[in-house]
Amino acid sequence: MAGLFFRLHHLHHKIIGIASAAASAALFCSCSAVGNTASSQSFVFDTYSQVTVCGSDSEDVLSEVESILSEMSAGFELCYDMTAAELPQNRLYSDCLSKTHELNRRYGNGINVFCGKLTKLWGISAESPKVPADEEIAAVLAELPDALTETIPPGAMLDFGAVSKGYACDKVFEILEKNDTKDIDYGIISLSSTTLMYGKKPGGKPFRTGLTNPLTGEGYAGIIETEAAFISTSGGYERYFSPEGTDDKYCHIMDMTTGRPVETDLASATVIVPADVPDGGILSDFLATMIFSEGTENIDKWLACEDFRVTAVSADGGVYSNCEGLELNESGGFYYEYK
Amino acid sequence: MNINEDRKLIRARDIVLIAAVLAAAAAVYFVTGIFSGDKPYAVISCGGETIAEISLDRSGDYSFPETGGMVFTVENGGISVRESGCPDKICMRTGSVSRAGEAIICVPNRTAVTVKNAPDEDGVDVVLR
Amino acid sequence: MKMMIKFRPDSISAARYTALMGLLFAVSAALNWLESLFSAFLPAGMRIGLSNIAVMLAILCVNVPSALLLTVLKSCFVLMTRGATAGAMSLCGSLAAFIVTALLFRKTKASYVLTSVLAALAHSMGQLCAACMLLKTASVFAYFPVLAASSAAAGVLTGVALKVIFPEMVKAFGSTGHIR
Repeated sequence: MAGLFFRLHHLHHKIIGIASAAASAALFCSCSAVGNTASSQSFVFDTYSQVTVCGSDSEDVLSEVESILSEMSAGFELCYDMTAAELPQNRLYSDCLSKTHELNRRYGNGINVFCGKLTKLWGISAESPKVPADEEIAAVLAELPDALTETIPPGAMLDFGAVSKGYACDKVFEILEKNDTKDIDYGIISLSSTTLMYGKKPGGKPFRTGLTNPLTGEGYAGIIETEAAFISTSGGYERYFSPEGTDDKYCHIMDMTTGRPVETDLASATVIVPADVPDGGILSDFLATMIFSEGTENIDKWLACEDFRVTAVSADGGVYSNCEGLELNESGGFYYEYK
Repeated sequence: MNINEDRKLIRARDIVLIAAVLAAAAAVYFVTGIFSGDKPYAVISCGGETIAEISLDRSGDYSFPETGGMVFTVENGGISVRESGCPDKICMRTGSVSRAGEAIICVPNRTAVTVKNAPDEDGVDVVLR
Repeated sequence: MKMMIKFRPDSISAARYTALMGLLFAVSAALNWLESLFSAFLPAGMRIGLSNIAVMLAILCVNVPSALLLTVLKSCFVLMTRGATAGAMSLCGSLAAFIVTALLFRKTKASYVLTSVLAALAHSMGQLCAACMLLKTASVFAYFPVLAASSAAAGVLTGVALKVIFPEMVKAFGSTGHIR
């Protein structure tokens, strides 16, 4: 497995191609830690992920993290093509499902993981997305199981896209916490839209997370300083599709009532959950998707919550945030709508 | 009169000048050192074209079709040339380089390995997208 | 009209001239080998310029055209023994050093040490420029600090050597009469 994981600079996306060539040309690839920091980049969860751990035995922990990430990623990937009945028995699905149910009960039905057929119908993250006919959508919607269905309907297709990365970060957190002989000072697990900031950075410095400018997809809307936390963001700027010859943008997040991509006046929603909150990863991922889908209409309700922090960016650059450590990119046109 | 007859071995101001040259060399060395952050990576170029950029964080051996028989080894945060088909093997004898600004040059292979620093993106640990 | 470059000064007999040039060329070849022992940490073909001492002696004892001849011969020697690339690097470095030395020894009263140090520096820079052109990358200048320091050291060494050797050469071969 080690051969697949090679470290490159996540800042240089251009390099990825070159480095893939480098990796394929690599004669050997062994692991070793520099100082006691070990890091790697890999393609899991349909995105480039970056894992950095610092501490004694960091290399061992890194490979453990890498293997659990690729294992989970492979498990979730099977859902794209298989109905629930065809999927192999895996605690991954039942566990992730029950955690999502719990969140649905607590925060209102935000995520329906049985929506796989709808996702497939639109195919927005797939190679050839298309706008389906109304009848097709209606047919899929008619069969869509209720979000809180306990036993998985065999004919349904699962889509954990809204929670899988958060769930994976929780599992990585468990590995880092299990303090046998291994001692990890800090770790940064970035699955692109969900990140786990673990432990304490040297000198007690805060973790700094750049929030991508959702209006342009480049640069930052702001930078958030946090202690150890799970941070997830959801937005329509990274994965969307525009049918040829139109200006319509369809994002990858589906509205279960209409069977169409959500229509929201938010450009992105980011949720920060302190790392000591149990299952904080899936919580942050779940809420980011939910808050993004609901738009500014419901934002006050979420900003009033105590257990997590929210920074939402509206389509015109207005920012709703209750984060203390947020440096807003004001010169980039972002301004506080709510602080 | 022969201009070389009373030529001095050295003058006081020469010492100052030589010291200045040494100081400039040291300054260049340390200034490049200051900009050497904690995320160095190596750029391998051949005939002026960048072939690969390799992080020095993780060990491994690399070779590329453009650089012929050269094998680059990343180890302990530095990069060195482990094998080369060039006649005098000076690139191999250069040893490991790890500071930003340092380089291994193999003129016969037209190859340069230069250590650079990843740009500091506002000191951000991670980018959410 | 036929242009003639006069290599042999009138004050030296043909036999002495041949012996002198042969000696200087032998010295440069020997030093070339010697300095290869110190050059392990420099990029391929780069030298700190110890063998420049032969060219410098030629400028002092013989004349500028002969020194230029020696410079070219020296690089031809490198070309034959170490290949085209090393030869080109050697030529660039040696020519730069030759120009600096000729100017300083013929036009000024700069001391031996200063001249040698500056010549060695010019030698290094000439080679860096050659490497830069060959590799099409400016990263070769990363070697500037180490080359500058080693050039200064080599320059002091050659400067002292020149001061000791030059009077002996004059005694052995007679003043070559490059009167101002």
